[in-house]
Amino acid sequence: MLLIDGSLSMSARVGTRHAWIGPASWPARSFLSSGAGDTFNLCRIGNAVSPVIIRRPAHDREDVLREIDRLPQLDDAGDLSASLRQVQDLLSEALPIK
Amino acid sequence: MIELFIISDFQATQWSLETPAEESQLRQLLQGFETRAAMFLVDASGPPPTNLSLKSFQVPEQVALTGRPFHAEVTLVNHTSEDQTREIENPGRPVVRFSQPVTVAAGAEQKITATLKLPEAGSEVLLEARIASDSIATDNQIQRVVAGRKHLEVLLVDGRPAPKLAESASGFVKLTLAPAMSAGTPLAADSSPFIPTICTSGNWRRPI
Repeated sequence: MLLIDGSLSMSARVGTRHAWIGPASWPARSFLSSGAGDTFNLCRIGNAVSPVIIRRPAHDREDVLREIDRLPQLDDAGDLSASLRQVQDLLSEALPIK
Repeated sequence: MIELFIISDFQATQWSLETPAEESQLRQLLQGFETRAAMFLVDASGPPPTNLSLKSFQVPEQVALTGRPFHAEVTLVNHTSEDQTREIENPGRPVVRFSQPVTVAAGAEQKITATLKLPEAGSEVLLEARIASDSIATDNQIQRVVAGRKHLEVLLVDGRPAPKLAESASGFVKLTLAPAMSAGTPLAADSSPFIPTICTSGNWRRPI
């Protein structure tokens, strides 16, 4: 499950480094190394009505990467509490830990 | 096994909530995540960014008159822990170009007043304040629209019209607004920005 901060400060550029997930420049792509049967959910911290981008667990890593590349960098402050509550709901829907 | 990755720059303004109750709620949420998943906080912040932002741009007069100075108030905010100096400017079109160096103390706000001038009249004028680019580019320019006019037309409704200035209810108001015009001088010689028109309360579509 990925929760990515899309608030304004994530657009900060220091030198050539950019916190936001520019295409092919996002170091956190490495977290998406997956094994057989792994699934992904994707959420964004922002002011959108629903911060959940991928609610139904996705199996294809490339689909998730494409979705991350399409996330727009917005100029809002980000509603952290609402985003975390959505993550809580997603975790509740996920299979229990064995 | 569920893994939760939270990728953020963890800015204090976002992650430090306003009240202790909210802080406690946030802590509880995060602790709740840990019971359901392995949680990883990924810091995407890097070195601290240099950011000075333009917070507001006000034009108190609301109407810009051709050839006359008017004021624009710009508020800057320094989001860094060091004093910052920037050149604040407007690009020079359609108003006469303005540029001024400004030093804003660390973490402080500063308001500056710029005196601008509009060389040509237009219906609406787009004004822009701009500072040099820094780590966050989105807040380095701000725009406002003001009405641009050559003159302001003023309608005076006179309840006691009279040919003599002293006997007319509107006479001295007109004299104050446009002295040369009131004295019968051609409009071009009048330095007043106002063009007063007098009518009666019974027929205010037909000027006197």
